[in-house]
Amino acid sequence: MNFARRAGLVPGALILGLWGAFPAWAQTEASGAGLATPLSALGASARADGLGGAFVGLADDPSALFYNSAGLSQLRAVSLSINHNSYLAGSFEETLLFGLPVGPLGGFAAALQYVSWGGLDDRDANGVSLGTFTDGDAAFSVGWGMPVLKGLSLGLALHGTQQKIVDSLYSSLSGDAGLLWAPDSKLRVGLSYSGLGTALSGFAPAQDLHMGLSGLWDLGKGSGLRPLLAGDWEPRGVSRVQGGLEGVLEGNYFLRLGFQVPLADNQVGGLTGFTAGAGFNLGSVRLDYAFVPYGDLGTSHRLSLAYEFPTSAPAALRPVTVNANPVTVQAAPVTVVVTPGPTPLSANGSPKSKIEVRFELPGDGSSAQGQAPVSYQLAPYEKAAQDNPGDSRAWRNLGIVYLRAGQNALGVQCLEQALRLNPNDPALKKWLDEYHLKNPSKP
Amino acid sequence: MKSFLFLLLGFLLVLARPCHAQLNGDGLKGIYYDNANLTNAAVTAVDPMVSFRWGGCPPQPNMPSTVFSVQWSGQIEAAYSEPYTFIVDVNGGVSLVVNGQVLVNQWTDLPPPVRGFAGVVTLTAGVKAPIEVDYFTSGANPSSDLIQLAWQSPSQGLEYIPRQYLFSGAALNPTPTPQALSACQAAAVVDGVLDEWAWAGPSGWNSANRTVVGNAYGSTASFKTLWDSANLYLGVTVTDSQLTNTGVASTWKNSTVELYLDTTDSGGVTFSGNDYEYFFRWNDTVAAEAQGRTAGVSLRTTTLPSGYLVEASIPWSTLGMASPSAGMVLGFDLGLDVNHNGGNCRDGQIIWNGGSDDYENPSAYAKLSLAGACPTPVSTPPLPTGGDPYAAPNPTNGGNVRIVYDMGGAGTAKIKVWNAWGNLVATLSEPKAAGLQSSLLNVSSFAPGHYFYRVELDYGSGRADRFKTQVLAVQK
Repeated sequence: MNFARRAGLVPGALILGLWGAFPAWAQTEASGAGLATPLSALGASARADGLGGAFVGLADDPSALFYNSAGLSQLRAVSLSINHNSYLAGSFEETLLFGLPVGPLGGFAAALQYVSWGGLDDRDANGVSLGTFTDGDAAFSVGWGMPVLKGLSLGLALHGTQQKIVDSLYSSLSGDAGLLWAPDSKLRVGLSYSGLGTALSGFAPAQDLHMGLSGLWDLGKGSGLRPLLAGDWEPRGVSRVQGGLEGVLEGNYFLRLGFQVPLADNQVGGLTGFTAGAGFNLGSVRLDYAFVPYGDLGTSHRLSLAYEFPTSAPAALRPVTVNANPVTVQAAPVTVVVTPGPTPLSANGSPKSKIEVRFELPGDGSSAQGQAPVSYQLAPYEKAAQDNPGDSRAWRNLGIVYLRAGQNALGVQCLEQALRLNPNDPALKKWLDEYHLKNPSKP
Repeated sequence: MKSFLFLLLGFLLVLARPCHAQLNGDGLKGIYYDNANLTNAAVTAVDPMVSFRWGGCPPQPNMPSTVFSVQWSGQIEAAYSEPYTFIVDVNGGVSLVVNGQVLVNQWTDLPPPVRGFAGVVTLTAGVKAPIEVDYFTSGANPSSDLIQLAWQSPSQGLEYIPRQYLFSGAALNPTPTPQALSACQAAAVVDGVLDEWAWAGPSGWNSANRTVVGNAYGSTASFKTLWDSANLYLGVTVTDSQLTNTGVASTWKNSTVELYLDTTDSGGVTFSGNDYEYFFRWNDTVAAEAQGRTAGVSLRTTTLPSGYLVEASIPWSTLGMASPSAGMVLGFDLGLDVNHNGGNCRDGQIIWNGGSDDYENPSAYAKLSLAGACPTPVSTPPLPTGGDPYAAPNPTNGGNVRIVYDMGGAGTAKIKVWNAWGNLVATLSEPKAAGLQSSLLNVSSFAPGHYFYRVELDYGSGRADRFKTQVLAVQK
């Protein structure tokens, strides 16, 4: 109930209240023939589509570029994904999506999209068959999300689209602006406005206001449920209400359900209005699938294959001062002063030997505060990492010591460095996944 | 009492239209201010006449409706050398100076009723004299605000001063190059659906998108004309995201298509007996005309997802043309009125050929030629193997697209069209007999792109044929 009150009812009522002020509820028939159709509106993520497209209030992966660019501030690993969308009437869409975290500046993403409309029936005005013709649309998108205040991020995205219709090319440029508020690990609220841009052959692009929220119900051991609710207000087109539920099992397996209800009768008939999807992680590779039925129009099948790059080269070195003894570690530009504990873990205390020490990670992605007392001298572990910057064990140990010292942000960064150096550490990866699931803001 | 007499004279003006030497004035330059002090000009325009009843509407779009002032200036040329009496009917403050003489100086916004003021000045034929009319209203009685400037002389009857005698000296609205269009000969049934074959195809369609007044909010009109021995036909597809019909008489302040005709193509800068101004307002079934000449005129409108459609016919007899024939030429222009901000006030206007709101200026009309019979459509090719319907032409450049299908029996053909995101953008539902049939889909308002369409043939009693989703490509 506590979760529901914090992550569901109150913000949900707020969102629905805002929506109640819009005339979109009064829509009784479809419109939008005169609106240009940028490809960015088709999205590019099996995960987001499996969740009914209600992604504006979550937006925690590079596909935030298409839903809420503020979410790009949450990127924590360089990633590349290929997204295939088997769309309607023989058309298909391919998207190459790249995500790049840039430390305190947040994150960037860029995408290339291509839509093939297949071989189309070519007829003259009298109906005489002239064979077939092929059309394709291409788009380039780039976006940036940046944290501006604690828990608050802003984002901007730009989409350039070129449509080819036989021998005619139509180009347009549109922009999105996004806002994401994540006050804690259990609630995220997003707002995005898209379609700010140039007209296409005299036809304005559709402009949409998206707003939504997501919550997190932590079931422990890397498992949880993430409900989403969103609304999409399109004054000159079709507005809709969207929702989704993502189930996470042990941090590596995902099941998704979603719905999207247009506020106008699209008359597609048949099975429509809901979505489903699934995905799993295999090391640094992630595979997602989404099933999006459009009733009698057909069904869209989306497949996304993403890869997160390990960082072999150390990140930029930042000085960290611990106990007035400067050491250099790979970390964000923070200064930490910790009172050293009385007892070194190892009797001989050799920095080299600290590499051999394997601490237990704190349970289920929690921070280590309140667990063990601070009983280690930090300096030996810092020196071990300094002397052995390419050894993942040194960073793993240092990270855990930092966590136990209550320096969670620094600890997580050391553990991420350890994972970059040794991606084949499933326990550590699982722990970090759980940690980020509960602590979505970039440490 | 004096005011009443002036008003009474005003009502008689249209009955007294003397013959004048033909001049080619364009009106007076009007500078509109958004306050009562003639400071900080907001809009400049050339007004054909000083004759306005604002009725609570802004004098120009995007200006306050209750407090404003206007200065009209330019030159006036008389047809006779003799004393002229200038009369101003006004609700508001006014001053009138002609040829350096102050004829009226009533710079007080008096409450209704309408007041009339007059002064006399001697003019010389063929000699232009400076004229300036200043007006303001404090907004106390906005629904009554008006100004109307008239004149008379011993040789000339009382009339509102027509534009041909007024010279703005401004080149704000250069005379447009007349465009040419033609109407082929074919009949149409006025039912609000442009489904006759003569409407089909991209040829003959013209697009009006030039805003000449205010803000038209991106609205457009695509139109085509036909004719037969009985009627002139007009088909228009309007793109307008907000439609208004207040139901009151000033149709031009709503979502309305205006048609201007000069049946003798005599041109000129004044509205004469052979000039017609028709109003086809969305959601009306009865047309209006400036002088009430609507006998036999038919009108049907249909609301579309992105605007509306107008189909109308005007009997030649109503236009005073007993026997039209191929080769005849009429003056023709088309306007589109837009009202997005509610109330009975027009927000913008589009004119196809004219350079301004010059509906009373036939010299700015285009030339409409009556052509011979419309091309007979070739026989419809059969459906491809499998019996799937097809769209012709595909790709299309706009106008109408024929969706061809084979009815397995009498029933209803239902066609739905969605945009690339799966949002419904058009529907058709037409009763059809058995056999190869087609329906016309108007895509004038469609943005360039790819659209999905499906055809369902419903024969009743649960029997129907449904076909696969196909793609229609729209170019512009």
